Amino acid sequence: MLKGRFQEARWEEPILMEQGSRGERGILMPAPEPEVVQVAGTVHDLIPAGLRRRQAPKLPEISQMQLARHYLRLSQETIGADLNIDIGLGTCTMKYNPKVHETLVRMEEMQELHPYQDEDTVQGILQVLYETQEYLKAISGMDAFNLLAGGGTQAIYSNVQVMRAYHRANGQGEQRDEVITTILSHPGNPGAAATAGYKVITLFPDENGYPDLEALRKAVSPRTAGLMITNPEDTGLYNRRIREYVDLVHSVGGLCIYDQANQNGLFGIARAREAGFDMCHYNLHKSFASPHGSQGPGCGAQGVVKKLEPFLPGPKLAFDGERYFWTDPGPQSVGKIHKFYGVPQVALRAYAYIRSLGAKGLRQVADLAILNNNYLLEKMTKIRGISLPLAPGVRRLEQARLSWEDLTRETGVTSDDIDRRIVDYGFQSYFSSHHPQIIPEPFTPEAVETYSKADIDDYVQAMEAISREAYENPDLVKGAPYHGALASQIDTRYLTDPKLLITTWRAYQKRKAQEE
Amino acid sequence: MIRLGLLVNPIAGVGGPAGLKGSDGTAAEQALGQGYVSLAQSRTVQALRAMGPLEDAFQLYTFSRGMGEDAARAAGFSPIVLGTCGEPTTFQDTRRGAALLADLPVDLLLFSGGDGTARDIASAVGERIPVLGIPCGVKIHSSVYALTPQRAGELAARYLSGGVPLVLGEVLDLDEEAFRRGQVQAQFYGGLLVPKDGAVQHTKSAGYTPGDGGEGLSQAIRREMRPGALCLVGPGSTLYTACKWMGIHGSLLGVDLVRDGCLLQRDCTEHQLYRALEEGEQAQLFVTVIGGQGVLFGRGNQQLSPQILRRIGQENIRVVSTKEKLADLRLRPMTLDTGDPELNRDLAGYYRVLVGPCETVLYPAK
Repeated sequence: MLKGRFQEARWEEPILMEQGSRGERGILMPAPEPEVVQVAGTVHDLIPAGLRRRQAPKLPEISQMQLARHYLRLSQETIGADLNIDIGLGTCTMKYNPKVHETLVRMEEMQELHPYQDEDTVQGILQVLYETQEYLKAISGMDAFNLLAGGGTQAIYSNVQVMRAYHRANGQGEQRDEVITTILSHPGNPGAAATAGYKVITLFPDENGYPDLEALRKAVSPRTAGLMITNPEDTGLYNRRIREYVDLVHSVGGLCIYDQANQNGLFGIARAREAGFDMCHYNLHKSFASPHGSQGPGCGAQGVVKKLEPFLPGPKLAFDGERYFWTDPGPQSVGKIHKFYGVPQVALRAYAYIRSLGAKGLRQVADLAILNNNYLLEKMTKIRGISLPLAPGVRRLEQARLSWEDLTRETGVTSDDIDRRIVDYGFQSYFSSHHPQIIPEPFTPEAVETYSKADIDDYVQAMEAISREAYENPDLVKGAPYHGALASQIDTRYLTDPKLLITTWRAYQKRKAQEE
Repeated sequence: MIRLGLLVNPIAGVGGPAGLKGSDGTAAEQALGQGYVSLAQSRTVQALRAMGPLEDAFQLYTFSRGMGEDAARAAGFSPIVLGTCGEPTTFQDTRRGAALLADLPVDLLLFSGGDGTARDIASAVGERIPVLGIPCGVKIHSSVYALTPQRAGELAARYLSGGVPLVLGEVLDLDEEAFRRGQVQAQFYGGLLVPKDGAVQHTKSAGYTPGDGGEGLSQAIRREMRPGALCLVGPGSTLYTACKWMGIHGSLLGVDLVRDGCLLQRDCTEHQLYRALEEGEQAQLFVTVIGGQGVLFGRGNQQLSPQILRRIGQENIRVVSTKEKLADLRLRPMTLDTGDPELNRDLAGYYRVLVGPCETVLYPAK
């Protein structure tokens, strides 16, 4: 059913720092008992003189009720995954995050968990982490896993580091200074390779939409350190010939890294191992149902084949048949990738997800995700002005990159305009494309397995309505949003230009002073 | 019987190798005086030959000598000559000829020239008959030309045998005086009906200035420039801004000579470049691809003639671009239109396009 009368809350809410009054407090801390002070000293005494501030920090001064109201109002001005049909945010795999998982991570044992706790007191969570690694080994076919990285791209970077350590150990660290990737792989791949000091060679798709194999033949050489690739790429096109790409890179001595941040269309269907890959990573905050977004915390699970295990970061989680414990990863390890042991709360949710679904259930996730996506595409591609470029007629897996190019040419309404208009229908702003865009006026939906047929129909109906509006009254769409939390359009330069971007209160004050 | 019209601007493109950025006004005289010749005849012959064996399939209508007769006969046709023109020909001859061909009417008018010629054709025939351009001009912004003469001929044959729809192509042109001063401003002059096909070139997109102002690309170029080597730097805002970062204030629209980060000569003619290369050393060439169109050689850089490109050799050609500019080519390969089909074939293949300080894209050229 089309929600034609949506209106999001719109509060003229000041920034927290502009609220409250001097001396106002949310919590009044009781003074410590004299006996305690006698033994432990005052809080003041506990902090070394050199670390003490001379002036108190400028924190908000506000009481509890006013504070609660502030955050509740802000929450009403967002459209989260629990509030809307989040099909538009493709590549992010916005599936349902089971509420029961939140009960687990809110258990006292998890809330109070501290990395300095004695191992004997945390055997439970260590078992969870260890077994999660074992499950991921089975899902991917890799020989060793760790859950240390705090996000997907950190796991990618860790894979690059392992690749570099491997080549160095073979005396080829200097010689192998090139990494090959594709324009439709996540930008985190070339980014991680460049950060590690590699020269990056990027392949574009061929006329069929797959990475250009001829170009890869020209790219590989004794200088090749490795290939970093996604399959399917953001286009949702599964590359059946992936083994040829991998074999080609192996033939010159390079390693192959599989970006499996989004694994949703592959569970139980295809594994990194059979495709010949040496390394892969999963975003547990995507396909494995831990909440995604808000810049973390996430978990990038990193998996490698046997010969690369000695190079993995540490510490390494071990099990001697009775007890779980952290151990030194060995002399060839790349060292630390994240402080302490990663984000166990994310791993716990993934563990619960895997355990509750089992092998058959996970396979069903992939089947339903593919089915949902193809149902969505059948309906979307019938909407006036939208097309599915690259390999027309070829089935996609779990997502696809569509194009509003025809609609833009015929009405002047762009993908960005539609992205703002969709908010007026009560749906979250959608994902267009990674950059640079090789598909014009892009839009990348992903109807994951947890959406019902009715949900998908609702979403498509909104898109149909907007397409109709674009042809009948393009200015209406171009002027959107009207019913969102924001009454007007944002000048996006303030988000993308580092010179204009303000991230702290102090910087904001400074800019304001300059402008006045 | 099918009627094919042919109109050649016999001086099209002559200003290119002379570094004159066009052949309007006195530029053509100046270039001819320096010993440069227009390739319009030979390119038209290439296009006609690519139409395949069509002997009795249609009748070709054209005008005397350089306006089409010579090229038609060289390609093995027996044309009907509708009229004679004075020497040298002027834009009025083009307009008059096009109007006569539209009155006949012909089923398709093939014309050879550049943006100026397209303007003349548009003002004479408008949307009365279908037309298709054989690219011969110095720079071509209009989307009424095929990518190469070869493809113009092939597309014309396909169109005449039916099945290729028509679309409205844009006629754009620059003020050549402003262009010679380094300003690129294309204006819209109207539409022409052209066969719609992948062989028709797209409108040129102006100004791909790198987002970081060219710093990243300048680092890439510096790394690639061999110490002591003579470097030819081609036209375009991509290279212009990148070179500015290196302290080289070269020309926006010309070919410059650089060695060890120092500018030796700005805006060279083909003859000047050839003399510099004759000194025998192994030179390097840095070029960028035209935004939107994807042409690598043969538009706006005719100073880089076939003999120059042969002398430099494919292994010493470095293509420089932003990633965005490559992405905007919509997966079409870069186009080689040097005027020499054999050289086009030799230069075809994958190029490691420099797109950032440590990043290349393997992109094909055809």
